[in-house]
Amino acid sequence: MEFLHFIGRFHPLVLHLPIGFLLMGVILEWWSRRTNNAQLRPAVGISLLATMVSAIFTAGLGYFLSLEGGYSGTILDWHKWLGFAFAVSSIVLYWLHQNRIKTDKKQAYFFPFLLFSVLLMSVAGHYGGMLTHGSDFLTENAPSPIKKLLGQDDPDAVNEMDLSELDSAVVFTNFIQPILKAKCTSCHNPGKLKGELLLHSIEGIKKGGENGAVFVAHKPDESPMTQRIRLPKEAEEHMPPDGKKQVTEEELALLEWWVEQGADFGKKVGECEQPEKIRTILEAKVKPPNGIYALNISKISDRKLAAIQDEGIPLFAVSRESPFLEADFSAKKDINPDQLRKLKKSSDQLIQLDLSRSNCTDEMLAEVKNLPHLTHLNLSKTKITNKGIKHLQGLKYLEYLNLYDTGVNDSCLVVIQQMPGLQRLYLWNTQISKEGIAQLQQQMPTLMINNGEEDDPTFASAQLKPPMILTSKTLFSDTVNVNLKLNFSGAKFYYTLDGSDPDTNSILYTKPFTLDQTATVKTISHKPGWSLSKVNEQQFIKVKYQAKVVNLTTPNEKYAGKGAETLTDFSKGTLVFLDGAWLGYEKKHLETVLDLGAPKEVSRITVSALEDSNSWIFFPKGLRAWVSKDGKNYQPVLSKTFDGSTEPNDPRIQNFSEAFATTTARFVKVKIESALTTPPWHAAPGQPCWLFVDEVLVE
Amino acid sequence: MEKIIKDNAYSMNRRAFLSKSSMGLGVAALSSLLGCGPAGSKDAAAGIDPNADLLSGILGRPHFAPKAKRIIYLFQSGGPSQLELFDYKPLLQKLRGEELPDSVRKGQRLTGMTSGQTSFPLVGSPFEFKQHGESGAWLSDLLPYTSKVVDDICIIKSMYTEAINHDPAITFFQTGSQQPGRPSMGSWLSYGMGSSNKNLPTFTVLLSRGTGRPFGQPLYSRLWGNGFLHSLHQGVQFRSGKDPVLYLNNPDGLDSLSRRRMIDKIAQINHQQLLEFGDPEIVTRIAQYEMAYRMQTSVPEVLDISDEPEYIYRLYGPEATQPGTFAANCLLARRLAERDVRFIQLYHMGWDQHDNLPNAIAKQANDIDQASAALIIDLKQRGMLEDTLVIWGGEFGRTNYSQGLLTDTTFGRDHHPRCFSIWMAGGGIKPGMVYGQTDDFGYNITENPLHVHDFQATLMHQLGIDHEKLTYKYQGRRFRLTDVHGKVVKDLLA
Repeated sequence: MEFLHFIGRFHPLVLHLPIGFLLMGVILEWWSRRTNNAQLRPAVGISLLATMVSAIFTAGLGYFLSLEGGYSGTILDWHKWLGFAFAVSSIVLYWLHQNRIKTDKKQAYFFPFLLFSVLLMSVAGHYGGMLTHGSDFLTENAPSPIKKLLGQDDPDAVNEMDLSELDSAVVFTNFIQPILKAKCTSCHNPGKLKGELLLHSIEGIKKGGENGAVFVAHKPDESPMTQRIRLPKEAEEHMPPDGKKQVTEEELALLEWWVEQGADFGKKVGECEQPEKIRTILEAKVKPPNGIYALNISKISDRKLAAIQDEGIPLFAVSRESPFLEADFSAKKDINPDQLRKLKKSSDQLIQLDLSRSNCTDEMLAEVKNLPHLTHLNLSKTKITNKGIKHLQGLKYLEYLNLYDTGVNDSCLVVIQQMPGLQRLYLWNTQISKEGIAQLQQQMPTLMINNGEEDDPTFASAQLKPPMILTSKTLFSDTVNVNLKLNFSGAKFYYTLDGSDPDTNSILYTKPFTLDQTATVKTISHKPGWSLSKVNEQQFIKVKYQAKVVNLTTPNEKYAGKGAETLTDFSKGTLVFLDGAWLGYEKKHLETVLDLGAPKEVSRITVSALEDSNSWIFFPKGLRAWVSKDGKNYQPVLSKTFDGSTEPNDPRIQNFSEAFATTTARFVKVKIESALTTPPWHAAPGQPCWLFVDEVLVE
Repeated sequence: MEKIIKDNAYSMNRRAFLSKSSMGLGVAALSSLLGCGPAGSKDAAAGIDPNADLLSGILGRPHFAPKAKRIIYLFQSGGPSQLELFDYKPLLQKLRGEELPDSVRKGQRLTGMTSGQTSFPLVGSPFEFKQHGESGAWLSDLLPYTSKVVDDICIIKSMYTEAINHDPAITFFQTGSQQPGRPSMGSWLSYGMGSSNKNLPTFTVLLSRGTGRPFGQPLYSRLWGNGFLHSLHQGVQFRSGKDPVLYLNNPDGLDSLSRRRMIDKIAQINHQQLLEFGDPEIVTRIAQYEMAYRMQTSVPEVLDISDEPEYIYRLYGPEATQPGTFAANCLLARRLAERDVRFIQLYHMGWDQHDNLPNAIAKQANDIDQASAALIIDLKQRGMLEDTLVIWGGEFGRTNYSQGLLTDTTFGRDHHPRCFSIWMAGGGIKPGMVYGQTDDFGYNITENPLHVHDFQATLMHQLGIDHEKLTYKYQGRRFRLTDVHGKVVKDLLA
């Protein structure tokens, strides 16, 4: 028996032979008749003999395969008996042919019987196909018109039901059965009966399969069916088997919901609890697709699309699967009417047309008339006027119309009112009046009209920003150029150099100006209609003496800047302590000796330091100085302590500038005292802290 | 390596024949580079299509109809505190100073900055919250302008991530992996969908420093790097200074025509190299020269905002007049979006408030509030919000307890990965919705958790891309933005 099962499995392999042989016979017969070539006749015989032998084999193997079980029902019966009939007919056919050759007479029955055999084989074969692939395999992917012709219902089709009828719909018949039909019954049907399970009828579902019930009411987690659907695709138990159409997430949600609600066959939607997610799915299944999507547009052929694209027309499929097309002419300044005319070839599929920022004119819009399926039309920032809008009459599917920054005015609203599907309309920067918009809104209450937010008082008050002082070199020895900037055309900058607050009577900034001595630049910006900006100020210091560092406490190696010269290079650090212009000291004071090159009059020391409490960097606590003429004997001239900050601050830079009695000296020793540890209010109090210094100046 | 070069050499024979028989392949390929040759010169070099394929995107058309054509990602670097901005927790104000219960913390790991802390005093927002718009979403008083557009945005309160430190967390958001080396989101998009404006990079980056903590964490340019994808897909940073794109301007004394000739010559030489070695990076190099040349005119045009009307400056706020600010970058983002740049990535830094939070976050919020809202309004009135997805959010949230001392006036918050808030707007995302919920302590998610990978999958979905199907084979396996995770969050879709 096992052996029979084994060879039975060869049925699907062998069955192709008689098909081929018989068709070969038909071709040879037809050819010999057409060319009147009797010499071909014997070849017909060979074909028919081969047909006979292989047909008998096939029928036998088929019978063995059917013994294995797993198939039953009317489809199998039909296939079996038609198969046997074909085997018999192939014998008769061969006999008729031999007869014909022997008698060398014209056999009147032979040719009709040959055609009959072909028919018999086709029908038997078709039933066989239905057994293995399911009864709707052939037509599954057929276009819907063909399906309708065949009287098949599209499983993906939406229920012919109004939203108001949803609550009275029976869950099983309206929502569950269609899922089973689409995804399960190609195997679990009376013809195939896989797993001895029938899912095409209520009785079958109730009865279950060889492993018992398929559903445990109220318990989707314990129901074999939903369990199997949830298994990973690779699992042997997974259903539907890999390769078959899979159950979607939404369908699974519905199945589980139905089981949870008791797996009842009569319960109506209204009688079930409906979580929001389920309700959304149900509603989506009920609502008829609206507008353009109800038209059943078929895909444009790739060749046709490519032909249009080859003419330089930016026409694309909306997505890989979608039949719909979009044309994107945005920002193209060289469109000609001819190009738009060519869109007509795809007028069924074309739903989105973007002409924004293009050279589109009123005349060109005449071509849009021929694109009746448009849902999106973007004309923003073009030169079109009312005249062009007139051409849009009759675009009944239009949902989105963008006329922002065009020349249209109130009289185009007449056309717009006649667009029944319009949902979103953009009218900012046009000549259309507020009254016009109000009137339109009244007539089309659900239409979303955007006319810009220019009048929103939230955004009305505004103080100008002061100009930015772009010059970063705030220490200089000779002269410095000061640059002001603000990205605002029409704004004027005024500045002072004498420390007074600037106003519109101060110096007007026209171009970068030069400073040749220490000064504080204070600047504001002004523009009519805006309030005057705050003051932005920056001190520029002309350094008298170029000193040389002869001795310096070694800074932390990570923040060593350019070495000792960092302190006297006139290059100020930024608020970023990592920028390489700073010398950093961890829990250490800074001591340095500056050499002025020759004895000079000194009276002031300025230290520029950084504080960034977030990064544990604090201003110095003290500043001490000594002077010397020879670099050996130092006289103290300055000793000063500073109060530290009392709360966290943003990073800031400060000059600690201290004067003392004028004296003549060549060497100046400076000690900048660190706070050493973080203050008590800091996030980590009492920890080692940092001192950051970028410049020490002697005057 | 040697084998690759050899193989390439063998495959050359056919082409050697071709180049003799036709006018010469170098010229043919060059002309297609310049945009005047036949589009499908696929054969040009070792089956590598010079330029055309790289700029047009591997997917050709999207997997499904896209809701968003472009993304503006207002990344808030540093981890904005959700508790002071979007996630209203009155209980924290009531329990101010009390210890965070272990039953809430559930063993959450801490950063090195608070792991030594012995006490975790809860602290609520010092700023008031009010409900706004038809959606009734709670927003802090720090966001007066955002509250005006609350019905246009979708606030997600249940984002969560796995990383607790800045760099891994941002890298995770941008590339789908905490370890550096994968392509950034914008690079994936460039690779998948290609460019829709050949004169500007598909993926642009704009940086601004916040006033709340102007000198916090640095950002590394690898965040907008192309990883293993062609370097053509990397993000291009636009700076606010004299050279918006580094090394783009001609050096003094070199005019445009000479530059053009030079690029043509270099392209010829590069092409010879390409024929010899077949390295796709050479194609990239040729394309980049061309792109840079076109950008010499397109970039100054897009960055010159002097033609913007005064009203726009009122809308975005006067800060928009100062180059380099977040407001100025938002305005630039809109201009780039108008020119069909697909991925516009902004980074606003300074949200890392470990201490001095009340003070600093007020400044940060002030930096971003008006300009973010203005961007929404401005896109909307141009009809562009429908197909532009705007995202606002950082890499993680902040703790509900104080880092460091909790005083009457100040406190800080440490990093918190378990829940934080972001918002999205436009691009087919449901407007006026608050998604997800956190517990009363603002510590754990109680409803609709949304992982970073889910967020990325949803983003890709809105762009018409099946995140599982945009892959790149590298080092023997196929990589994708969401790795092996990610689920499109259908509840967020309009």
